[in-house]
Amino acid sequence: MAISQQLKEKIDRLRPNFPTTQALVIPMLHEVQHETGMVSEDSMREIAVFLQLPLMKIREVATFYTMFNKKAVGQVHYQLCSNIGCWLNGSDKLMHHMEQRLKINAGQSSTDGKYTLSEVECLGACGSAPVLQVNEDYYENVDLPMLDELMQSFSSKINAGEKYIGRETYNPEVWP
Amino acid sequence: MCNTTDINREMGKHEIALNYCSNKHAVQKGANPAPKLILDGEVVEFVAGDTILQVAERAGRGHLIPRYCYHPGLPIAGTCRMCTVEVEKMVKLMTACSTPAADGMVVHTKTERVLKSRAGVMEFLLINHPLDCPVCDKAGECDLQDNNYRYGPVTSSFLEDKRTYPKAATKKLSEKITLNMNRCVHCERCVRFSEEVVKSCDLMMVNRSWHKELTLADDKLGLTSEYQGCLSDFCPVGALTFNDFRFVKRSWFLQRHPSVCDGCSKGCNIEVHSEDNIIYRFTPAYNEKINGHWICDTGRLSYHQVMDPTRIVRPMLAHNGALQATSWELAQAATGHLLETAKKVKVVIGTDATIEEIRYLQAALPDMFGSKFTFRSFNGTGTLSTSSQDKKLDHLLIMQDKTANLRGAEECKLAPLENGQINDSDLVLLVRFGRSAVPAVGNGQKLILLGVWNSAEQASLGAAVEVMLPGLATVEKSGTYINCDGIRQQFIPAVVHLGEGMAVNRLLRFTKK
Repeated sequence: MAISQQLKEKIDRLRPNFPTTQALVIPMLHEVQHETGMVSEDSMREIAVFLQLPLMKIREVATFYTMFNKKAVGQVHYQLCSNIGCWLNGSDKLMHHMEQRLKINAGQSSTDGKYTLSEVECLGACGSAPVLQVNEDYYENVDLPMLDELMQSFSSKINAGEKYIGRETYNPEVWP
Repeated sequence: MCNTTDINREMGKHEIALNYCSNKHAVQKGANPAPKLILDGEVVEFVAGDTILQVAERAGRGHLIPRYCYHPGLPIAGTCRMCTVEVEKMVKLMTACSTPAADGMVVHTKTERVLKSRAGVMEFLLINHPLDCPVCDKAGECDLQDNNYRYGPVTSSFLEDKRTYPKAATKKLSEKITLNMNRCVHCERCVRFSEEVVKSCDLMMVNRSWHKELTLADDKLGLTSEYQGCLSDFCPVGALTFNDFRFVKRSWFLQRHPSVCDGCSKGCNIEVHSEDNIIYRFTPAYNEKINGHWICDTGRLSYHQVMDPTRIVRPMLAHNGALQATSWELAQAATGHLLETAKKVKVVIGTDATIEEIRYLQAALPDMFGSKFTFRSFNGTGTLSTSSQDKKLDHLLIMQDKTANLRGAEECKLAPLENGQINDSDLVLLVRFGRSAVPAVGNGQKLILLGVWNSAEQASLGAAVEVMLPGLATVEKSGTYINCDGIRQQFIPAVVHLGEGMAVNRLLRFTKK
């Protein structure tokens, strides 16, 4: 069972607030990702059964948004926008730098399970490109010195054993 | 200079364009004046609720607006941006397929701005299209090819590598459909079809933008719908191709003639594509009242039955206990002799015969040989024998009755065969055209077979068969069917029969000297 009973009850409580069952897909995907860290193929099937929708309705939403992780990710998930605004402002150089530093390619996780590096679609902050999303947090107008500083700080946070890395704007203990 | 062929072609286009309009209500001429708009300088009437594209189609000018994602049988998406037109007093170009027409609108489809936009869309679509037209099965009937020829830029400014989908370059989605994802232009007609028309939800687009890819919704289930051939029909490029037709024939060699599918009591309208009277495929022909834009795969593949290599296409006569091919003179003489000498003849006509054939047999046989005939119809789809027992098998087209003219037989006052058994007569004339089942024949009765039979069906009747008279299949003859909803459909031959088979009225005419 990829989806807990608790989560199902939570979605049932949300039901009256949504006009259609299909509108519940994104909240439910979010909840599953918060619970298990990813949205696996199995959990998509379970969501489809639970919401009584065709599997395609779940899969197309989950695969459209790069924010849903279809594979397991590391403790720190770097998501660098590769769309035109960020790319014009040098996101390809930043990506190259991160690949060099983490010794992994875009789309891969490090073998120790600490880092994942992803190239994602537009994060909706083109005004302050290039944008880097780390777990739940946005870092805007990123340049190379800032990137180095950020990566250094995340590495020390991992070493210090912090629980909620990259969740300054989203802390599950504060969030209902 | 304008010759008649050109005029005919233009008229054909006009008709097709009208048929292609999804808003089917006719313009009402009455007290309330119909709303009007100006399309390329010409005043055009329309029905409230039409979009600009539908107005153009209603006016017979649909061909002026190119489109990929729009299809009259599918919900409107407005994603391909190919159908943009210029509307006066609107800042941006508008998509004709999704902009509702308003009274007094002034629409231009041929301005410089529109043409530039179309060329831009074409250039973008061709960035990743492999342009493998010489080996693509769609070439000749491809919207991308046609529109690029009319509106596309001559060259491309894209010099980089094209995006490819190595795993989906030739991917079998099912036994019937092959996908080539490299050619896809992401119009999503197929996805909307599976979602809204067939409601099987078995196709979907995964991922986004550059990585967007058509896949099966569930690999475990696969493509299950009964209407997969339609995917290949409306795919505007060669991404989805029908395996049965794939690499079989270039589309420009094909002649297209209308006919009616005789696969079930629905009577879907089809187009028979043939070259030199060899049929290569059936495609749907639009008929609002019957099949809309679609036909099922069983009907689509039923041309194999007409072109069946085991179909008997020469008259045959029993000789030394086995049927042997013979000439029409001998077969007809033998038939005449049998009918003359028999005392009690039962004529069992399959419900796949046309009304004309049934009426001819009912009138001509007693006229020639006296009143020793009893006429019965035979359907053979399970226990079904009257049209009231017929029912729909899905929400779209497929009916339970697998013969085309049960209601026609009822109109001719043809009683169904009792218990599906033929007993107590000396001679039985079995008339069927490949669709109704073969009835059980009791011992001691001689048999004359007439119509479309293959060798297995003939062999199942054993040594009782005295004469075999080949007839014509639906696409080879003219006649009338009445479909399950009581709609009367006349059709004319789409191809010329390649064997020695003859129409019923011709082949029985000579039997009595």
